[in-house]
Amino acid sequence: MRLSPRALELRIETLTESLRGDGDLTARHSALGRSPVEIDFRIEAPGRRAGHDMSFRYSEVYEQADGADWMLVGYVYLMASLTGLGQREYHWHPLRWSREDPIHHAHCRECGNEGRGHFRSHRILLEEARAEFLVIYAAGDGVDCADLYPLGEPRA
Amino acid sequence: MSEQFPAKAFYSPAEVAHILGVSDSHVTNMVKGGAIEAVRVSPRIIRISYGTLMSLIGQPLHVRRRALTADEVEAGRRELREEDVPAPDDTLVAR
Repeated sequence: MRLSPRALELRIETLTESLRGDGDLTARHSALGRSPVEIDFRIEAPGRRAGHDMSFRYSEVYEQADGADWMLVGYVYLMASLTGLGQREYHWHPLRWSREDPIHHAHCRECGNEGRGHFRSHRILLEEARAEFLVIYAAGDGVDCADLYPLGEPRA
Repeated sequence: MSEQFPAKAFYSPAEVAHILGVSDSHVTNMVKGGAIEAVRVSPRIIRISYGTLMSLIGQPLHVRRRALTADEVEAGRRELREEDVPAPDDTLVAR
């Protein structure tokens, strides 16, 4: 994703407005004129007197590309239950066996399990992750990893 | 409007209609029209979040805004750079 400086500012404002409906929101970003820029949204849901049993995190890192545009170079999209309903996370970065190539992947921990596995994923949008997380949360069943395929080191 | 309703994470359209003092169909139409953001759990089940409901009654949830320092940005990237590597897995072997 490549954004102009104005589009990046608008993205921050738009996300702040849409994410505020999900719970108590902390919206943070680094100085917009200095590369890299990180935007970071943390949500405690449901919020206020309804309590807090789910946390969401949506973080994106942008670096300045050719010219003035900003290029998305990393993200973390995470939902984590405080009441044992599990955790799901999407992000990308190089793994030891991938040399410098970033690998898009997911982490998932099902309700009642302690470890979190690595699973295959493709590049997704914040909005897609949010929609998925909210459906899981609203369904109230806890995180289920059955729709994900395990990620392993490829064999030569 | 004071909060005279049970506080929970999600509400059905009927519950929101009751809280707002409008008809169920009014809420459903607002959801369909995009005026109320809702989560579609299944083709027949729609839920409206507590935060969205609070916005509808004019008491939006708190938003804190804060600047991230360059050190915090670097710390976040460092945290992601290397993590546990999954064990070799036959699922990626060419068949």
